[in-house]
Amino acid sequence: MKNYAKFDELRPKLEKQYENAVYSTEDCRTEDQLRQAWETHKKENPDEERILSRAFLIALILRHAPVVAEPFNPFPGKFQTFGLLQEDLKAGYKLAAEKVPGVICNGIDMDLGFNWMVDRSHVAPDWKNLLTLGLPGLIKRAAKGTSPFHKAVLVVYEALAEFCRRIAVINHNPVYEEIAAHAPKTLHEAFALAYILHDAIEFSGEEVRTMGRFDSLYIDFYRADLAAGRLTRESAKELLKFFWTAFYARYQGKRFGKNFCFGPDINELSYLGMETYYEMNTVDPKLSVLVREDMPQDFAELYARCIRDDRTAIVSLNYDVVVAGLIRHGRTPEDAATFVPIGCYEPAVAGKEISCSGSTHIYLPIPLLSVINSGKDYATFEDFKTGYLEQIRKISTLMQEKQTLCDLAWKYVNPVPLLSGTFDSCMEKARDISDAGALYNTTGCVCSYLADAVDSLEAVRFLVYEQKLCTLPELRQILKDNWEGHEKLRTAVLRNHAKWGNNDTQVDALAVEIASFVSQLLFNLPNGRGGSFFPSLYGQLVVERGKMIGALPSGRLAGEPMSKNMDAVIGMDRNGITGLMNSVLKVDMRQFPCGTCLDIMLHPSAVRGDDGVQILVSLIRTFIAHGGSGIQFNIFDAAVLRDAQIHPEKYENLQVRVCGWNVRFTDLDSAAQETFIRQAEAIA
Amino acid sequence: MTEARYIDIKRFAVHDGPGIRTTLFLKGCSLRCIWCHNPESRFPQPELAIHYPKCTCCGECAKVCFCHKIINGVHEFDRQACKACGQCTQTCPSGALELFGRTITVNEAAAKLLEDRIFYGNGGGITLSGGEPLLHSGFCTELLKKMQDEGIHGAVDTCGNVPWSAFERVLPYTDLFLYDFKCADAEKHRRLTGCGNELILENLKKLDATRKNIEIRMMLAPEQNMAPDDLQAAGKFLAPFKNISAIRLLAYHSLAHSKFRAVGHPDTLPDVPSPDAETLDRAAEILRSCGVKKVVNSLN
Repeated sequence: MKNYAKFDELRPKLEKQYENAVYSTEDCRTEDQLRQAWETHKKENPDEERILSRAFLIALILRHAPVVAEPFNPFPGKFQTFGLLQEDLKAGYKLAAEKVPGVICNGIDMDLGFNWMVDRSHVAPDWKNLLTLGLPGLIKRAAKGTSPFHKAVLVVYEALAEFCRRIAVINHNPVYEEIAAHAPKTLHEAFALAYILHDAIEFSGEEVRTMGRFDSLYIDFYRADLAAGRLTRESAKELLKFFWTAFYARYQGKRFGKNFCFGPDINELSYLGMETYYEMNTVDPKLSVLVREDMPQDFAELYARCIRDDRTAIVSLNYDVVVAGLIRHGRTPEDAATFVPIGCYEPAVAGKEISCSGSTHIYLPIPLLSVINSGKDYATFEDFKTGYLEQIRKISTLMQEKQTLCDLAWKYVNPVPLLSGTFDSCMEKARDISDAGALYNTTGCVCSYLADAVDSLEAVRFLVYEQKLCTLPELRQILKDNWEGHEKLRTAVLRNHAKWGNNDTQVDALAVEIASFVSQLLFNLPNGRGGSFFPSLYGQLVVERGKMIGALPSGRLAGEPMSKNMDAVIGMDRNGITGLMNSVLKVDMRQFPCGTCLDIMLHPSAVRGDDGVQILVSLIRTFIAHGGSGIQFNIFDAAVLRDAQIHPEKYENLQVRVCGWNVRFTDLDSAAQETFIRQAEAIA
Repeated sequence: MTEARYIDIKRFAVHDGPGIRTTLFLKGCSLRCIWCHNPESRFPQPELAIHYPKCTCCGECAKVCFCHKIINGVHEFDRQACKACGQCTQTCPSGALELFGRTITVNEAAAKLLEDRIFYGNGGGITLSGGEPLLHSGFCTELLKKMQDEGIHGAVDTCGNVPWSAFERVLPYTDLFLYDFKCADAEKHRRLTGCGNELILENLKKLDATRKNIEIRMMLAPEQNMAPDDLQAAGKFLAPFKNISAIRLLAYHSLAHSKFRAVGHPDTLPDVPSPDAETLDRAAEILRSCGVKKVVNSLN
């Protein structure tokens, strides 16, 4: 590795590199020149296929846009797009509207309870192919094809290689000369290549959510460097810090975070990476750990210690359960074994699957309101429940119609040859990712706010059918009144101990039934890309969506936050986290191959000292051993959070796990802060 | 079926022995420690607690029982007349009324403890606490035996102030004793707990001789039992024991004021600060200087 200043010295500068970027002026064109070239190209090729025009523009930028000259940075590569790619993306949406009549590329129906969209934020290239073939290998492979798709791939990769050569010159960085010329041989080259492709794909309008399995992708490079004396363990850690900070710099910890996956096979790079992560104490990147029962105890303790000591941007996923779920949903065992989470928790077969995991959501409590508001009478609770499930079926069909148009629109909106060129199946089929080029083309559907739905369903049983405290029409009015004037009834519902998350047989059975029903329903629902919907079970945007959802039979008032992921409604898990986990473990997670997650909040006193690390390991291992899948933690004292609201300057490093990503507590808006504080107070 | 009265079941208990545990708190105690953290566990009979901060004075309880009255917006309660039937707790909409001392059979208790058995796997288990659990030694014996049959680690958290025969009964089924040690001086002990410590120290010696695993738990309260003299006397007494795996120092806190009020007992909590980690470290040093081996500061 070239001699760089120490990471700790450079860190502040690296973290702010986008704010103070100084762009090259000599080897590039001006904005006007670039715009003119682009306009001329469009005029000369009015009927060009979308993928080719997009490829032309990407190549133009990579070859001729200003790049940042900063020789101090081991991972440079930022470039100035002058908004050209963004403007063209808008044109893509316009084109999609013409080509796919009726398409709405991003919509939500809160009356019926679902949304849909062209999901441009859940993709990942085939990292293994990239690192094995390198840019020259990918170029060679693309050159063999004759289709417009192959041509587009060739154009963008040749431009990317040229981009690397430009950086090599401007930043006096031979690593970039090397990766333009051959497949990476060193860890630095491998990191640089991965970063540069990641960045280029993101600039071209798709969010690369995972950098793949860190320890297995890079172990050979690391070992080779050690053997050749190019790196020591310590200098490798230093290199990794530079690498990871390049991702942080993009959004300063204010977005979803970049995922690096660890395991399930633990090697010396796993330990090195986790130690480095501890030392860095950052909100971005975030890690996912694929846990199998054979995970070495010392590694489990190492990462549990990260979580315990405020580095909570780590989700554990049950490797065996995820693989079983993927196989059950049609993946071959070999393919399933290679999965990576391509979002917060959403597994997809590496290099073979595009699951668009954030495309659609079903907000589970809303169909329940629809049934109550329908005015239909149900003689028994069983009838009512059937009515609810049928309403979910009905909206799933409507959602399918809307989403199918989005699935068809993607190739007009934003073809991604930079990404597709790494996929074997795309090269064989001569089709872009956006045009169903992957082997597995699924469309994610996030089933959200399970606890609110279950507690509401149980409340209907309690209020209307068991205790007969009110009738369905009365309940309709009560919800319309937002429980005003019905405080006594509301208290009765809230105090009724039957709530999701307490290991209650009757209530948990409702959750299991809803979960099985939606899983089955979605998996049999074809999408618009030749695959089917792909169910997941978690709930995000709990504050934002909560503001859009009215009062619920569970006693929840209109506008209050929704339940997160597989958690209980805040404060309703009265039997503590073991009760909550016992409830959650009744749901067969294999039914949700597109991801599930349980959020656990602990008081710091529960995990104090070395014993506390063991407690955390025990919790994770117990959850995994009994069929749980995603699990993540926040460890808070409510009083500390309150103090952080008043004195944000004292808590600049206080992280919170939002959903599948972390931010600094002080960066949250006050409504989101309140939600965390309420939850922390509930466990105190 | 053997029964006992209990006050609570605490799940995910991580301070009542090793690993993740469930703790069953039984009712009735043979000491009256001034710093008692669980005053609702002292008397053997059931008691109604009123959590005044939660009470909205809605008067629902007064409708079902004459012991409750709402007068000028104040909840008045005739504790003398209360039969602790618990009927009022069913009516309270805000959860301000709680009955401590419901009965539970061994089978019911076992079922509740087994609900969380998957969490006991990595070195955890169940703990019987109180109050003084060994006042219910028959119940504890049957319950611990059931747990042992299930392969679950069982701990007993005791103040030691019970006849040795109670220990003898639970011995074969107990994996770990969490043994309270308040102070070495008998007279001081009487002042702090209402009772001398002769039986407690004698039982500890006998227990040590059985080679059972013992963890000593010392709750330290400033100006009460943690002066250097107190600690040296404790250290000297404890040093010769063979089967003490650890001496765990716990910090006194005054969070129980509201509980004293809730169950209507005279509040005896000393008005002293809760010791911090450094204070406990210094106490640990004194104990170590007396030859005591493994001292654990629970605040570290």
